[in-house]
Amino acid sequence: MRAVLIGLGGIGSHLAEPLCRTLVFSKKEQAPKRILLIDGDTYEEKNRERQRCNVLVNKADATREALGPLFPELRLEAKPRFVDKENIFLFIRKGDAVFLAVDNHATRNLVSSHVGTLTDVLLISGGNETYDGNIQVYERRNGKDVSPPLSFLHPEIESPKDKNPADLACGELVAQGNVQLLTTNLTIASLMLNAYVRWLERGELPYTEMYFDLLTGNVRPVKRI
Amino acid sequence: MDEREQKLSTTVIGENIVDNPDQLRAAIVEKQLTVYCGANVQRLDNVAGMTVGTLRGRMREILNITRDHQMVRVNGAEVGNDFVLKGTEEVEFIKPAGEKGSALR
Repeated sequence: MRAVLIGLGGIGSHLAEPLCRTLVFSKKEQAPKRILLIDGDTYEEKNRERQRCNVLVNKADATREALGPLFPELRLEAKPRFVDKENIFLFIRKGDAVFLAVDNHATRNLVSSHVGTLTDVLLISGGNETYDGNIQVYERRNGKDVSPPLSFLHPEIESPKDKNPADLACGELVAQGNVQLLTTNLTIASLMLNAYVRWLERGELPYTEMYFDLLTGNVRPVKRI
Repeated sequence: MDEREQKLSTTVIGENIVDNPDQLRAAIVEKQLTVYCGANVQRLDNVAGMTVGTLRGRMREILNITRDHQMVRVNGAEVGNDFVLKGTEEVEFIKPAGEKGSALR
């Protein structure tokens, strides 16, 4: 059993430490003690405004270096790669709890589709725009969907127009997105961790998707069927 | 209804007053259209006969519905913009998953 954190940018960098803390101190048997940290990207100076980074190196390596000494009870492994169709079967396996904090629908589609081939996996995916966002929970148990895949009611994930960073040609630029805010990223990270903690405690969740809006202060859980 | 009930009753939406505020609230909501988009919700009166497309235009600013919100469900079933509403349904403009922008490399 492993926890797999994919994406260590605005959301993932804020999720990593509390996730480690949760796993160390959880009394639940299903709480894994091995974490894969996966990201092919490198921290840049401009990331400091929103992301937890101390050194400008690969995000997975930097996160492992920072958190390893804090959590000696855990086995932290850094994978300085983008998830792609060649390596995904190594990175996500049966029994894993996967936290998907990426910024493109192509990777979400890839991961969700792969999870659909496994018998038992919990996938929690989060993403945001400037002031709002959502998390989605996709669970497989004994080879069946307990909740819908990420693409359910989300055609932007089923047929992504963007690209997996692993598929970008050398030098190809990623389109600049909306302005990102620290508070929005933090909210998503918190909602993702909260969903996991509730799932650990109860074995199930009363929702499969949750939306929030920082401008209105609303949060709305939804159970998709 | 006996004489005492008649004296005490007040007509609300054509029905007698409900003692329990939650019941009253539920009675009012039952007569309204509920529109969801993301975390936000609005309740509307008097929209019977309106199409989903018209509703989309009306709620665009209030619920921040954009062109990306292509999928619409009424009472859980997917519908198109020309679907005609009765005025008491639950309508959701499905908000796309958040896609934060990537920095230039």
